Amino acid sequence: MKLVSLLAMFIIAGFMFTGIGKLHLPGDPAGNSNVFSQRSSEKTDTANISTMDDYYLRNGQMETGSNNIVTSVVFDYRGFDTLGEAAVLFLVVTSISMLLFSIIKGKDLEETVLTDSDGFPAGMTRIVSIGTVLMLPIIMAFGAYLVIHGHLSPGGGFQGGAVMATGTALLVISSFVVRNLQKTYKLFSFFESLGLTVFIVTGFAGMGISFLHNFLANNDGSFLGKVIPLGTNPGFLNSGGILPILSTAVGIEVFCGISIILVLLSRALNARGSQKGGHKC
Amino acid sequence: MLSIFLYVTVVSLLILSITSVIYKRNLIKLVIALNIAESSVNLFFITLAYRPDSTAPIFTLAPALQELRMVLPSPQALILTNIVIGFATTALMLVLAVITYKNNGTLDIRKLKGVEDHD
Amino acid sequence: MTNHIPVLIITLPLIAAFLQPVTGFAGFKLRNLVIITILLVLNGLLFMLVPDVALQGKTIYYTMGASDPSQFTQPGISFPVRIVLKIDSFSLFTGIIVGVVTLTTFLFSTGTVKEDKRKSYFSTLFLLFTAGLMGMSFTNDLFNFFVFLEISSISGAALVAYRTYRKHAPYAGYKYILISTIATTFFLFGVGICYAQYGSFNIQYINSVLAHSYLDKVAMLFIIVAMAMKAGSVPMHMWVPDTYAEAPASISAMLKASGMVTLCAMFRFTFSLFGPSSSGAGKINYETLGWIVIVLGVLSMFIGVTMALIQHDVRRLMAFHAVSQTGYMLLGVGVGIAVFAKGDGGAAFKAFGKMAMVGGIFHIMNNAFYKNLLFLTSGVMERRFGTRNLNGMIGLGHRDTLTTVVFMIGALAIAGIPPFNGFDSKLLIYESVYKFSPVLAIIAMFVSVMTLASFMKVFYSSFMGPRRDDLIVEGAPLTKGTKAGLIILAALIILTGLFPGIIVDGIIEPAVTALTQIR
Repeated sequence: MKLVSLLAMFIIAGFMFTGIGKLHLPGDPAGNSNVFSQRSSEKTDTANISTMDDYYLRNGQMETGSNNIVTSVVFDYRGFDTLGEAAVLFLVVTSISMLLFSIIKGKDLEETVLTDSDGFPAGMTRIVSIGTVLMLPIIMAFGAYLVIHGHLSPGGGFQGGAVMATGTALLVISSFVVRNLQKTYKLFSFFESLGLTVFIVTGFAGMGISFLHNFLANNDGSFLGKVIPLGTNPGFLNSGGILPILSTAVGIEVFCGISIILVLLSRALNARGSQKGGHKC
Repeated sequence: MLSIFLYVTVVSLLILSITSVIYKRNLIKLVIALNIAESSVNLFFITLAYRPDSTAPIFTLAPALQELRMVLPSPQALILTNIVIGFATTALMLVLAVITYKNNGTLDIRKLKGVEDHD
Repeated sequence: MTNHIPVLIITLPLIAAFLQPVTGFAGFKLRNLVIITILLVLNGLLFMLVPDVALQGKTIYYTMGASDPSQFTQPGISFPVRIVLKIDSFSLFTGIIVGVVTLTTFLFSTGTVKEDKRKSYFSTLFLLFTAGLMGMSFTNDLFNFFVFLEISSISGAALVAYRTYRKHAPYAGYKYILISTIATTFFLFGVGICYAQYGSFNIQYINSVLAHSYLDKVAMLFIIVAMAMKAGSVPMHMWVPDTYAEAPASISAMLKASGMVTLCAMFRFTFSLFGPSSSGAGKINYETLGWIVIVLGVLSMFIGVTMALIQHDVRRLMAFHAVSQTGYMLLGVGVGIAVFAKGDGGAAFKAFGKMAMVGGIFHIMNNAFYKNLLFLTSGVMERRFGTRNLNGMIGLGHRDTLTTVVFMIGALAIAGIPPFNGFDSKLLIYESVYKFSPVLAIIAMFVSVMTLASFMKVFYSSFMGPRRDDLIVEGAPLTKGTKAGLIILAALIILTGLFPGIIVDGIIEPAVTALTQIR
């Protein structure tokens, strides 16, 4: 069996190695590299475009009101993918809760936190605990900045949410263990669900035209609807239409989702109750 | 011509990871192997998006419009999706490995063989 | 609102799943009612599309976020820049299979999966599984397909491991996600090759500019291998029995539906993505491809059924039969592919190739119904006796009349006995394959006989024999929902078997026409 799979592997490897010789060289993708030449200030300018990526680069900024084209692709042009991706994260959080709550039960749900004489958690040195307390606000602020400025600078909901979740990771490793797992879990899962619901409701709000239609963008003067000038600009927070909303929703969801995963995994590895016929980990 | 080695790296990583999937017997090592496969696909997409002398596709404080060259945006959006999906898969596989260990006391797939009716 | 149906079909289960942590507090009866309502609405929406799409041959596009969602592209450009959903007869056919299977399976699971705190997670994952399968059926975008493939495989893996207290269930889930991740990596690599050449992810657009270069063949190899791996055809079938056996019965049925959808997607990629392009550029060698599919199909049929004959575990037995039945579909469609672009102006295809494809595609539907029914009854058997071993089951026929009757219907249908639906599709396959190559048809009939023998063994050992109440570990009668699920499936099998003409003319034939573009 192993030989057969290895043989199949070699055949596939042969196809791959012969195939890559025929791909275009890296750094030479199809499309117009000088895509902004003779760009009129219209909202959509379809001249001078030969591929999908040309279209995004040439029209992304004007159509969605977002300076960051990657964000406009993620949340507007391919917003449905992002909905699916957020669903994957929600799905994996649900699965992990389902699987791990069969290990974490009884005594493990209420953690007895060991503290030293000054009220700091025992188990790690004081440097780690105090370092965590100092770092946490900075990490959270940076994560929130990434989420809110997703349509202006590198970043967005996923990145910012992941950065914020590193705060939770710090709390977990510095033994600031969650005292009441059930309550924390309910809080996080409520906000996770809320983030996703905001995402999909925003999608349905544009349903008068089509699902996930960016109905807020380019309405001058209205909420998040500033019409931005074409090309390089300093960035306006009040632009982008539904993109900042979706980005924030995803940021909340990612932060809560990854936090749940981290908290549950750390608790499960220390779980005392083992299953029927099982061994201690 | 040297840049073709980016593609060679992609394919080598993919083959390395699939070989590890065939030969490795530890559940955690299999997770690592699949992570390598995901990285190779991500590298493939980002290689496709590369364009020399270009900036990131962000207009905030970018050079003036006429001499602006930008890398392709959509592969970046796709690998963002793929990274999140890879994270999700990894987390789920690790949790399943933890529970498998709790149930069977081993992570070695040779000892886990033979799924029969045990009760 | 009618032009929003495509997106509603995918987003309704998603939104219901996202709200589960909130609605989960409302008590399990209300929650089950809400989910059943949503699945019923899905089925209703799908059947609303049948007159337009299947009977009149319309194609419905839905472009996400565009100012006019029913247009495939925007004015001024030839390629779509947004994600497009496409409903033609073939994807509608796939969607109907998913709709029926999920509804009946969920009805069944209301009575068999224990109502406890974890059931809320079960139903969330079930809804996401449904959304993933629906998305796989209707999307016209390669990367979007990948996302939905991941949704369905991750939720499938988690549900396989649902009974974590069983010794091997988590490992079975691990195996499933391992195979799925390898398959999706291959798939994404193929998608990357397509993107590198044509700068697009849209299936229809790529097909319209396809150059049939060597790279396209490499991409096709990756995509087809990935799909075959997930559908569980030989030689990538080793995960099937392990996973199907450890999953809860309702989830085995869902995994089977997932395999069917993947198989449909594989046929769609063969024809709609890598098929003859509308720009008229070269062609792939359909005869070689067809023979590869036929050989895979015959091997699947034969290896599946021979392995099934020696099993003592009822679920592993049925899982091997699932592999074997996949072979019939591959055989039917493979014959269609082999004569698809023959140099005789389509004469061979019109003579028997199309019939073979109709048989293969019809068999997907029939198989989804009866295999689902058999997996569900195996769940009842497992509950009653507390074991999956056939040696530990005897005399269930004295207690459960309904289970006995529906098992009999399912077993006769899978063996191809008239008047049940398996007979109709198998007859179409035998007739057309005989014209292509008599040997293949004889092998197919032989496998059918072995299938009957195998199921008779199960019937005799577990339903016949003396009444043994001491072996029963759980004697509670089946709930209404469970009975409803079984009865709906049995009724569908009988109705399809009695009136195959309506189904074939109404749904299957348009689906094949949409797939091959040959009337």
